[in-house]
Amino acid sequence: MSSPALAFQNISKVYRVYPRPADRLIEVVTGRRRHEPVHALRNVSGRLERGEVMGLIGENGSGKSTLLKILAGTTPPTTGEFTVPGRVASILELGASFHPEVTGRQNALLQAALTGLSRAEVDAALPEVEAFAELGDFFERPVKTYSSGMSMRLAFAVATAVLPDVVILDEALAVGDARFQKKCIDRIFDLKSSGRTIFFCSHALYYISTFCDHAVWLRDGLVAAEGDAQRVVLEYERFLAAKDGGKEIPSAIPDGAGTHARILSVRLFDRDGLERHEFAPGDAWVAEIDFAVDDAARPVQLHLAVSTPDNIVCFTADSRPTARARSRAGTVSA
Amino acid sequence: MRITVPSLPLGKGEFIVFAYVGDETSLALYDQKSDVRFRVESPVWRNGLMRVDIRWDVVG
Repeated sequence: MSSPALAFQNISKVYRVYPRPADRLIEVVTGRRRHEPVHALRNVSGRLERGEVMGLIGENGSGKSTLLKILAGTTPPTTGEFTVPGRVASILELGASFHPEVTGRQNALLQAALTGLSRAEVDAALPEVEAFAELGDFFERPVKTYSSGMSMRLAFAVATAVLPDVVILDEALAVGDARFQKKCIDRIFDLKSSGRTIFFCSHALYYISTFCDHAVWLRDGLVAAEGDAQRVVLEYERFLAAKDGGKEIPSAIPDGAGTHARILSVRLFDRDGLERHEFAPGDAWVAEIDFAVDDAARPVQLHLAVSTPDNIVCFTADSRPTARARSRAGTVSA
Repeated sequence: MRITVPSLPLGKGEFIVFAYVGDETSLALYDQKSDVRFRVESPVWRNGLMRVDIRWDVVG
């Protein structure tokens, strides 16, 4: 097996929480424990191969940012080991690494140098950082005058222009307009296709399921699920839906359960009439709804909606012109 | 009842099918089903949910 681009094994992180600042000193002097341990991560393991994109999901406080900080080298693990061979660039807390009093250019120089680039490499990368960040005259102004979106653009431009081996992104797409988000995603794909490895954390499950190869779901500092990104996202969505009220798919519409009409099944087929659950863009897509009505004289109407798991409706259809004619007692499958 | 989409306009992702049956005015919904999911796979990733045919023309 080839050496991974990033690997972490049994990573645990325990923070000590003291009721008062003085308790820290009292603990040292007396030797008696004055803190409460808070377990941010417990025995978390994983590995990424070169060129892979891994998504990290979970609720707030689940340990995502702690894991990313450990892998980025900004905080040590309490126990466990990790290996990140090569150059690492990260966007962790938005703009937190920038010095507010110096200009965007000076911050870019400093950040690029901190990733291990030589002065010549930094000078070579700077025009690309400036062009990508689209800050205009603000590039020469102190970062304290930047909006959050401008800070993010600069951070993203620096982190990706230095051509790192591993990129760690914590909610890097949460700020910025749609056009810039697209630009960032294109850059991420460029990095991926050039063999870079990306560890990506986001609450936007659409991004995780569509452009990550693998995903890890953290829950209370533990790995709740890991593997294929779409499968892990699905498990996480089911967990969130159940938490919201016990239903797999939350809906404002009461379950009619046989009041006048019942939907018996919904099945999907391709153009050849084969039942399928996987399609490609541009494929013929056929949905067959079997339903039963109690009273053939009562007209009914069928509706169909296709949405993403996070409830963005993609398209809808209804049977207004035809259902009245077809409605009859018993199962109807036209 | 069968609904046919000749050319699925969706990009890569996971999708859920919701089916409802209601009265002819759609004011009363009698039943629903939402346990069908499907996946769209594509080797090419593009931003956005939809994959639509686009034609560019140079004008002027």
